[in-house]
Amino acid sequence: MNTNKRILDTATPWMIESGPQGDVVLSSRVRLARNLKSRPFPAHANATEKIKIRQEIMATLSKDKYNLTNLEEISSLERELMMEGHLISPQIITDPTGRGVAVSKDQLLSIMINEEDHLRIQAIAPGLDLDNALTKANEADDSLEEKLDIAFDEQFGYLTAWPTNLGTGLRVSAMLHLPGLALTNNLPRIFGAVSQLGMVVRGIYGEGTEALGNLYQVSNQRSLGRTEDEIVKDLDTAVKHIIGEERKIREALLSKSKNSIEDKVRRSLGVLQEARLISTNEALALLSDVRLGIDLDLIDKDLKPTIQALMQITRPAHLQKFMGNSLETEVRDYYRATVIREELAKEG
Amino acid sequence: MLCERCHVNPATVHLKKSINGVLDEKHLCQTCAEETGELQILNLGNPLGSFFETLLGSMELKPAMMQTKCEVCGLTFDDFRQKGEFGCSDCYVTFREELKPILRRIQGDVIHKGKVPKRAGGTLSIKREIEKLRDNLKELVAKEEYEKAAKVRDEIKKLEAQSGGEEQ
Repeated sequence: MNTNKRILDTATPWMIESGPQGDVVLSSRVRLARNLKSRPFPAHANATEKIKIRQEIMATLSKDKYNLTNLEEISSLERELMMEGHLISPQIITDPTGRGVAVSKDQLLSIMINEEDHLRIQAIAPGLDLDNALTKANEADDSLEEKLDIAFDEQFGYLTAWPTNLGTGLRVSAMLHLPGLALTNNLPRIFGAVSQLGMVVRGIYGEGTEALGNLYQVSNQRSLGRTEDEIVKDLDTAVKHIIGEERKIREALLSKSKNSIEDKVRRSLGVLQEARLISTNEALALLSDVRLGIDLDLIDKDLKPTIQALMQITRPAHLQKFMGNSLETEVRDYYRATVIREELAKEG
Repeated sequence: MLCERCHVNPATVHLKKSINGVLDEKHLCQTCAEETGELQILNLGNPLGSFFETLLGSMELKPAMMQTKCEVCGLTFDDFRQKGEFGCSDCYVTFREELKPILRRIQGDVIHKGKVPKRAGGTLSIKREIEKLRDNLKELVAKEEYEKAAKVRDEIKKLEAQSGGEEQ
């Protein structure tokens, strides 16, 4: 196929980068929910109203800084690609009319327009770096507030469509890779403790999605009654605790059963290098093993960016975009296997 | 991913069924999922909406209150009770008192302590500053540092004038 270069280029840049605590934490994310004062929330607005609100918001955003997209003007495949790149949420791709997204040139900041709230400002940082993400989201929030009348109440704070986001409108989360805790069946215990602290654990695309490739998203539940810094600090503490547990298990695995772990991760690499048909779920599970192998120094570190990129681009929409047409499942599984094989051979 | 039945709409319903150990996967759009009856199994309604309904069921609600309407968007408290979401930012003002016990349960608090926007925040930043200075003043008086206390008191007066002076 010899098109490797192109498919790697379709991965979101920050997903390939490794940040602080990158052996366990893939990325940190901060989201602020904001609304325009006295205007119907998106779920209660008709198409005309939504389009008008979108126009008003987009008029305040500089084209030098952001790529602006009206979601009904792009294909459903393009929307799915944005979802797989974590730029928009799964909920908004099915009803795109009047909705939009502004994405910064480095793709680290995105502003969703007319999702559940009029504005969802989202900042992402590679690794565990919640403070940095919060600072960036706050800057974008401040410059929007200069030009838009934002709904705010002295008692309740920022007013949101759902009372579950009221107050700060803040949701902070970290994407964690937890193969050690998963392999040793320790996740229920850890997640139980985390939920006692008021945090939630979800699959990779947020609410209602399943966990693939041992990837879990941990986030705060409450948004009212505490400052943004307190919310960030609490999540940071919880995540560092989980990192500690995951590392402990990895060390134990390495010291007690090095051969069987090395066998497992190398077999997974072998399958990725040789298979002719791979489903998304199998690919993510095998890539998770190889990633663990790299983090345990059992597999060459140079492979990490490729593995991180493959974790994203082997998902259905990215693959379909690359192949052009809509693909039958078996054909897609064939192409997925081919892409992975060729990409790994290039590194080999 | 496109719906595997109509090949037109994006697949938004992803089903996994295990019947006698045989795994069956389906990727359908909303319409096809409804037509094939697959969605019925999944459609449990809005989980958060019913959560609010249960929560509010345990509260005493007067029928008059249920019909209270937000003047800006027309949403009634009964609508909110069923859906769990509001129609516009003014709903919070209309249903302020009814909402407090709910917020106490889902958020554990009813007072915002976080960021205050520059324009929309009004005089809240100043009020918070005054509160901080009052605490400071109490401490200084307790420590009998009257000179410093006098300065803080002047500062409070200045800020109170800025915020409209309605507070004493």
